[in-house]
Amino acid sequence: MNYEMEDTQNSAPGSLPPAQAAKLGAPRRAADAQSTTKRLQTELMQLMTSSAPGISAFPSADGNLLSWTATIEGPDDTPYAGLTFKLSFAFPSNYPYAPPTVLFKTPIYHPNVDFSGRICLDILKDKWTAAYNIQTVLLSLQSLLGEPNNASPLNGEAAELWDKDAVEFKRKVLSRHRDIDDE
Amino acid sequence: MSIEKLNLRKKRVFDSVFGAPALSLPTPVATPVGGFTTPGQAFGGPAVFTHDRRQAPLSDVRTARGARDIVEVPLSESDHVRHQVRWDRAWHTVTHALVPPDIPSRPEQIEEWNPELVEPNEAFLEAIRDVLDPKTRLPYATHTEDIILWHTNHVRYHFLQQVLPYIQGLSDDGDAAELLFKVIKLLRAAHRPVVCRYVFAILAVPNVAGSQTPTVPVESIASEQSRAGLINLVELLKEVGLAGEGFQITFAEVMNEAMTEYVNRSCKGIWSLEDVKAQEQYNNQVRQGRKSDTGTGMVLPRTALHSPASQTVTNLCKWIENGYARLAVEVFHTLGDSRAFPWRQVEMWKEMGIGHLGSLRTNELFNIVVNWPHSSAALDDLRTAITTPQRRLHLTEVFSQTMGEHLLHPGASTLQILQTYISMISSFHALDHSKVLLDRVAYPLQLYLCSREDTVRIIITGLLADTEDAEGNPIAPGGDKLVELALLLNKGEGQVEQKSSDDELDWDDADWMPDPIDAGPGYKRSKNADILGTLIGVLGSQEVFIKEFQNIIGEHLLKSEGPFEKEIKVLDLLKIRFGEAPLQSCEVMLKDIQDSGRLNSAIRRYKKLDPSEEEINIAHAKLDMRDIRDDGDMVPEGMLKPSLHAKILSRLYWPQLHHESYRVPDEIGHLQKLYENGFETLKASRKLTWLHALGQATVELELTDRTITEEVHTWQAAVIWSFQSEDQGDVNVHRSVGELVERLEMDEALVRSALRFWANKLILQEDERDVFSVLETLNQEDRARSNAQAAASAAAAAGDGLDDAAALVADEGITAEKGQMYWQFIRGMLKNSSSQMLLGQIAMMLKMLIAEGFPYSNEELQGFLGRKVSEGELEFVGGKYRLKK
Repeated sequence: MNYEMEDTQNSAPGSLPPAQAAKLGAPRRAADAQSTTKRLQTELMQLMTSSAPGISAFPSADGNLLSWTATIEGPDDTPYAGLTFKLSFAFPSNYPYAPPTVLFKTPIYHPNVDFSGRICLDILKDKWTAAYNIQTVLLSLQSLLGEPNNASPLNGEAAELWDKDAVEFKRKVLSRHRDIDDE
Repeated sequence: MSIEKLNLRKKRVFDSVFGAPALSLPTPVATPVGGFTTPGQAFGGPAVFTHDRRQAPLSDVRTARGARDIVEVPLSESDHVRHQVRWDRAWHTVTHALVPPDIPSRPEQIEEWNPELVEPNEAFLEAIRDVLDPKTRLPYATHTEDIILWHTNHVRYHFLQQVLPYIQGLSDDGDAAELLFKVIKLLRAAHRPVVCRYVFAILAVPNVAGSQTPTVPVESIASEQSRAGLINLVELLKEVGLAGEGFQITFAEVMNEAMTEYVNRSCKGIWSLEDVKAQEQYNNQVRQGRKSDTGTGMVLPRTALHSPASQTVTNLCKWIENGYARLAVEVFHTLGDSRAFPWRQVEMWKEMGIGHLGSLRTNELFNIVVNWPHSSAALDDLRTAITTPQRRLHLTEVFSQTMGEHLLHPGASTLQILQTYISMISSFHALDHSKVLLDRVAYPLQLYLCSREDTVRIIITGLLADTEDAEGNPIAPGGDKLVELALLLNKGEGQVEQKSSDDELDWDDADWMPDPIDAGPGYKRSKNADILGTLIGVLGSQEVFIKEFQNIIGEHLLKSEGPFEKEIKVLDLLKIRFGEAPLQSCEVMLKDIQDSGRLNSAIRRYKKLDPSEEEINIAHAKLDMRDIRDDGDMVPEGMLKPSLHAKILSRLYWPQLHHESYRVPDEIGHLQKLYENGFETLKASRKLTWLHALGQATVELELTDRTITEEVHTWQAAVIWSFQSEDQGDVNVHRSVGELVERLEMDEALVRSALRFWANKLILQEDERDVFSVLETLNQEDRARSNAQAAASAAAAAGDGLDDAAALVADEGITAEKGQMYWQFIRGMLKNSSSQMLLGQIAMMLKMLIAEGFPYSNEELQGFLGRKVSEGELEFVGGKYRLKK
């Protein structure tokens, strides 16, 4: 466990385990479709062997590796406790050199998420580096649920309520939340 | 007479079906030429002729002339009649002259039979002019016929009616040459110089017969006699005028056929140098001291000079120069073609001959390859012959096709295919250093081999195979392992050329050749055949190869003691191929084993597990006493108490190890404890975990009437151990399967397999179903069986071992460790992608997404999912699986 946490967090290439280093290091060319899928496969394997609590992700059922679905469980001690949220990941073909497009599929009432599920999170925009991966994104999103960034809200009302009226906020969260059952 | 009638009747029947030829039969002498009057013509007009009719027209030229004179006289008669009459007259003259004489019915007469040839006289010439060109000469004759057609037809008729039966009669006796002469004589007799080219229609027959003669030198029994015969024939033919264009064509055809035949007969299946020599010797005997041939270099055509010529090609060229060309020249001279015979022609013949040889070898190539290395001469031939890109292309096409038919089908074992591939690499390398040809033919083979699951395993076991058997004799290739590979490895093949910089040319390479003209864009030159490199590099991906190697090497390392030279060698080879990093774990494995050797002795010394002096002495004394054939590998300590040697493995680096556990016998358990202690004191922060199911045990069984020493698996040893009677009372111990499973805490399948093993060794017997006891004494019958089985069971035991190992794996299905990971995947899948999925969908996703592959079948997955359902983690609703809420 220790060992695996290490390679997700110390994201400098030098500290990657030899197998992965070889995989990433071998094709030094610009990201082509081959290396993208390979990277995603590796990430999937990582996620499966070292699952962090409360998050999970998997490629979509049609087997397209560039489109994933993820699940986040609302952290305890937040208004989202006990709720689960589905997200969609769409990876560009030059991933990991460009961030994936992440959307909340489950309606969520959150200061940094708008009503169509778009997320305002710096690491998904300009702060993205190839060292991030699905797991780190999901963990960031999970922590975003507990600590919204109210300085740049997409949902102004939510940002206001978060600070002023926790009970009302919680009510809004619950009323907005709807379990989506796919197919 | 009756025959004639019969023929007539036949002809009538034939005509009724096919229509009579629109040609009249030869006009009989007696027929009045002007017997018919044209309509509207008064009778008696041409009556002037009547007195002429009785005379033979041939004998009386004047008559014809006279007739003309007379015909010209009556002015009242129309030109039509005049011309018609003159035509009829001329027709009669010509046809009479051209009628072939009957052949005497008795064959003896034919020799002196010399029918009088009609000397063409003026009248005849005049007549034939009329007949041949009636349009201009006799424009008013209404009834004319084509004399040429008539003659052709008639000669044919004559031939069929008279000549052919005669020839058929002859063909029963006498040899071909004699027959030929007779035929020629006959033909000469039947011949008419006037229209000789029409007679060529007949020539089909003498040519068929004639083809016998030129093939005589083909069999290289070109004795002067038959040569003279042939020349004689040609002379005769020339004399009879048959040696025209048609004959020359025929002769050319026959010569061409002769060359093909020669190549096919003398070169087919002769692939090795010895064969060639033998053949040559034979030829020399046949030639019987013909003057020795000219130098080799001179014999070859220029195109074949750039490469060292093979023996067969040289022989072929000699034959062409000395036999073939000579014959042709002689025949040409006989025919009177006095033009200087161009030398270039001979060169061309040689090239043609080599071409024939090339196509023969191309067709044989697959067998040649299979026979490598006993077919190098054939490859030399081919190298000489394959000079143009077209031929190269043809060669690869033909070879691919043959290979597809003969090799790439389910009936061929992977081993066989690999062996062929090895021969292919070597022989194609001998054929063409550039590898272009090989690349072209090897691709389908590689593709096919990739579809075989056992390819990689066979290659690796081949690499690791013993090249010498226990007695030190070299093992011949062709067994159940690819020993060839080990031999190559030992020879130091597989050393990769380090300078593989394909951009830079080696300026010092004096033998540099440009890339072959048909090289593909990705062409890389390489000097050696590099069989090992090709096999390792092309078949299967690096991961697959390394994984397989790890498994096999793991097995080897655990099973045997020793310096593991081969393993190290192969590891080095793979390291050159794949780099150090991917093979790190193999390196660690090897190091583990080497270290554990040292560690083992250290621990044993430290823990005083080694036998003391006196113990050794006692053991030796015992040994002497019982006069056991001392194999040398019996540890004296083992005579007194169980001894334990351990191999210490680094868990993370070894491939899937079997984790089955069972209760080891107490004595062993005790030893393990001691050992463990020793290890932990030596390596403070590390712990030993015992893998009971792996490893070897040397078991010595003392039975009432015999002592048996066996090298067995640990679990087999554990089973037999449990038959040891606790109290020394000599009661036979009975154990049931269930009892053993319980006692040893061992898997039932494993217990059964061990029991079967011992029962095969005639140490246990099955008293009743599932209850076994020790067979302390063998009765006579058993003893015989034992002896008979000793050899057989040795072989069977090997097989058994494999079965057991297989059982070990198969019983596991999806292993626990892997299962955990798969379960994560399935959970992630059902949680995120789709809340409920069909079995097939899940299997497909797993296969697609797990990088190292998902080797299990749908049934195994179903079993696995079934377990999860029963554990309450999954639900199975409406044919789909979903997570339990």
